Amino acid sequence: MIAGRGRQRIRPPRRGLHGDEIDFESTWDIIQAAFREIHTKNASRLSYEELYRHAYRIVLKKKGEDLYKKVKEFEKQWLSGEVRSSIQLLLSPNLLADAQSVGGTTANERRVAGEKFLKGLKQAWGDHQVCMSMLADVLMYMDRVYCQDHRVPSIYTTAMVLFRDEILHSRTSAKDSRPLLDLLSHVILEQIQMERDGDVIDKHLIKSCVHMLDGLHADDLESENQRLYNVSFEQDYLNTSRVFYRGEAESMLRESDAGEYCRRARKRIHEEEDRCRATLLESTTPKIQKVVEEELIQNRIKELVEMESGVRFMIDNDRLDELNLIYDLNARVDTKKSEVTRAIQKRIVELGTEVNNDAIAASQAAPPPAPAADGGDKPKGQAQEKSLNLQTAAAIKWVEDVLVLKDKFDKVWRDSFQSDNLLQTAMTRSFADFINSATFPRSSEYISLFIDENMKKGIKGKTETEIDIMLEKAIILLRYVQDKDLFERYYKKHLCRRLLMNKSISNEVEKQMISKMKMELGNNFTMKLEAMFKDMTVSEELTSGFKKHVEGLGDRDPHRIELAINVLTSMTWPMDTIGGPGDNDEDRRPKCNFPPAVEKIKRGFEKYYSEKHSGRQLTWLPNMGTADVKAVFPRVLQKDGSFKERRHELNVSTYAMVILLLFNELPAGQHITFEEIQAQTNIPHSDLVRNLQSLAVAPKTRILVKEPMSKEIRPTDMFFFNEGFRAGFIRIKVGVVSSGNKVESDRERRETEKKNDDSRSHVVEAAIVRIMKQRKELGHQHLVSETISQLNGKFKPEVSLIKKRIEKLIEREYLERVEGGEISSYRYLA
Amino acid sequence: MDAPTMELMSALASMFETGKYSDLTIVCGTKRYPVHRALLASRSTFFDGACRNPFRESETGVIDLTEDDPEAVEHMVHYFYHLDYLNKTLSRRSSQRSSRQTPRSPRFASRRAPKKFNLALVEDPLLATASAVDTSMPLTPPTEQENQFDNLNASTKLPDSPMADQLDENPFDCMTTEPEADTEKPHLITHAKVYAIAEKYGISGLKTLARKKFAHQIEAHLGSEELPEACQEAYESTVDTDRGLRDVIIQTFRSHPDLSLRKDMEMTVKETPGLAFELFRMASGLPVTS
Repeated sequence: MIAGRGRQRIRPPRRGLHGDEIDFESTWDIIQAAFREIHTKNASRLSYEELYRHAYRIVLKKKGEDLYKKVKEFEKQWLSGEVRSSIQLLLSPNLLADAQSVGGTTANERRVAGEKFLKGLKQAWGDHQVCMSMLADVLMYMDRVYCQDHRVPSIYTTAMVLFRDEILHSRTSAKDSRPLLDLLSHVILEQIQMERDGDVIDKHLIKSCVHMLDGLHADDLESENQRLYNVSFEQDYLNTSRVFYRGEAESMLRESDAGEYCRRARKRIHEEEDRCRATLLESTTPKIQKVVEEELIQNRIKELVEMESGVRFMIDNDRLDELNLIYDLNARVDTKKSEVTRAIQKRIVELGTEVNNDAIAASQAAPPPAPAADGGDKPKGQAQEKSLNLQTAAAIKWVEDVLVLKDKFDKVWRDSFQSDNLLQTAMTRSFADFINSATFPRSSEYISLFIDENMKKGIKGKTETEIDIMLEKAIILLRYVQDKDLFERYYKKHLCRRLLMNKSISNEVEKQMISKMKMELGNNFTMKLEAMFKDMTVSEELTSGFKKHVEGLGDRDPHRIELAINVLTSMTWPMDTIGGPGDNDEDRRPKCNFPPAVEKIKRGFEKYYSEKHSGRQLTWLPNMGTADVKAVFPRVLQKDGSFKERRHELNVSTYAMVILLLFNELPAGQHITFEEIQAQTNIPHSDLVRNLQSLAVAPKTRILVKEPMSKEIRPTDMFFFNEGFRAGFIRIKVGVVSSGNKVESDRERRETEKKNDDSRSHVVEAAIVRIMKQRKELGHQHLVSETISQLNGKFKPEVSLIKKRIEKLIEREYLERVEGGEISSYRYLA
Repeated sequence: MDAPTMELMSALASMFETGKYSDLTIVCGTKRYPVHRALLASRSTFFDGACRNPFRESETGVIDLTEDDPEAVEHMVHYFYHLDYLNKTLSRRSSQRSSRQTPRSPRFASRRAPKKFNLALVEDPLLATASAVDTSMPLTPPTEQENQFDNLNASTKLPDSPMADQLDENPFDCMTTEPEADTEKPHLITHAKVYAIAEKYGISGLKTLARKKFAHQIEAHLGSEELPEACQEAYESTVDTDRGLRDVIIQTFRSHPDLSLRKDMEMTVKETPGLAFELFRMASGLPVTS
């Protein structure tokens, strides 16, 4: 073509500009022949420029639509002719037969036949794509001008749709009317099933076919959810998978134990994940995951957990891995993990109840204590003493057992449950359940006893870290205890004994314990305990201060008695425990008559004390004190024939000291009767009996001789000074007051509970008044629930108790009922 | 223009000069242009297709464009490396270059490249490339059209003065070329042909550039003898829906009604049904495109 250049003056003769009217048919013949070459992979002979130019000219001459139609027709012919028949050649008879019924061919034959088909299809699809991409490049100008201007899909897209219609939607064979697409799905599913059964399949091959399905749409709108993969394959895949896994779950439950089930289920889940990645599409992952999880876990988890080899078995045999597996499975289908949680909780309560029952059984193995005649309720015989020791041991064992249980489940929680918060809460609740169980009311006492035991003996020779671990254990248990007030009561009682009797190994550890409780339970809880320690410190200062004071008097009396004193604040210390006057029944205990020398120093101290703290009243508690007495036994003939004077230092209770001093006044050989002692000293009957028992009955400390000689003490008994007393040591401890902290007898326990209930009444009333003062008016239900929540840290009050206290407060005109309200409510009376 | 852009531009120019690393040859009649696939394929859908597919061209590395107008091909190739065509140095240079078989010595090339590199000229192509992004240009409402052309004219005037500066600033250039003020000649047919080839091979930047040059020149050379043939070329070398040059031409007729009275124009209108039809629509007060 010779187009005129701009500068030329003489215009060339007008010809059809840019070539003559082109002959469409002959041009198309050229293009068609070239396309055939492209499809048969002979493109390298063709000139791209030439083909492009032909197509360009056709479009420029407004023949774009004709060209488009021709190309489409050409492709249709090509696909339905060449391609379709080449694919049908791949369909071996057994592949077709299998599509309808299984049998007649081996799995391997089927796999090979399937692969052959898939390969052929993949090849055809790949070729089609490559060729169409070349064609589309040749027809670029048609796409750009004709397709865009006329809003028709690009020739490439059209050709892909043609592949779907002419190949995938075509009949499988002349005889078989099912579309090829169904066969394709079926073959892929079969291959996957073979892989599930352990065969090795060509994943890439399947993935290529899957990509083809994903690239094509079922409709011509090309909407997202209408991909052939989703429409014709995915649902089938999910359905067959569901059937398969349902069956597998059945047989696995039948044939394997729970641990094995978990392992296989997890393996299956991972396999499906891998399969989506390597063989199918990742978009299917969540869907198949759901199917597998529903069939293998959700529908089976209850059965699985409750299997004989289920959670209970795993716990009992420390199968931490399996527990982790089952937890993991449960977590997949249930964020609350309720089945595993339920099983764990059940097992905790079961094991905890066993521990409780063991403790009860151990404490009941001993004969029940005989009802005591007096208020002291001290054991009267060895057997009883022993049984109480047994119970104490049971108490300590209970604590240890609970801690072992706790350790066990902590390990499970940490190693198997990934420190799951929900499970921790559930497990804590279960521990609290059995520890606070109504059938086992002694946990507070036992925990306090456990601490007591450790404070007195357990921590001896242990390192700081070990001690800290012990303290921490106690705190852990304490956390579970609901009735914190009851624990406080016991702890005070036990602490009191430890302090006054000097039983504690380390004051430091005691204080550490207190500060731990403070962190755990708050200031209120430890205030009184701390006050007890303060009293002890103040008492030491008082003792030394008084000693100095006495020395300052100048009166150097060689027989002066040394006084060590503990001044206890009555509100702080558990007076009922130490036998002092309670708040209500003052002077319940008669005042003891001290010998003059003792009386003198007692007065001296009272004077000294009242100078320091005016207005305070001191009450003496001789039942709690001890005295060191120097005793001289005269030269009398001993059983072994020796004949000399013996001096002993006797460490006795204050009462025993008072009794012994009576014999100082007595001429040798004389006696005093029980009644005389009682009259002169005013020692309470029970205390007197016990002290005389240890002075005159206990074989090693028989400083007095009783007549008649018997174990029982009777009012008419006569007592003599035992001049022939003999002992191997200079210092002799006359153990009288049974002073160890032991489990309470049932009777004591009832008393403690009664006292506790009494003090609870006050606490509840105080809480009610506090709430009402603030709210002025409140409905009954609200008041009850608020009261409970206020007291949550201390104990859980019975609703009946709250009701009763409300009644009392109304009686005492703190509150009144609001009349005419729909719900019953109360008003605060200022 | 900043230093990095200069660097790139001079590198491209040097690649064109030396044919270094060339991996494709465009043949047009007797001329051979050693070019670079990466540079062409990334800007033209046609060349992309030619390089991508296993046709003869990609096997042999030769694309024969003899069927195309040689001048348009030359401008197109020049554009790929300079972002412009028909600047004053073009014809002599390229003819020298194309006749020369051996590449220039590197020393020579490196010295020449920066000199040859034309600051003012580059400004224009960059604008052209930028405006190529905005492909929507159906200018049907006549009033707006007018405004738009005013703007267009104003902006196309810009390159003129720097080009004059260029002469003063780079006296060395004078040695290699006869100063030829390209804007003095209309080149309307050339621009129309470049426009067509840019459309044919899918080079949108060049298409925009050609249209701009055409619009500018038609305004400056209303009396040119080329005008009728250029109009015919514009109407016959692209499809009807391509409004680029058509809008410019119709607009020119609208603002210069006396054009229709020219004898040579009369003949062309008779021979060019597309143009005749649109002029008729315009004269009847109808929208030019239906």
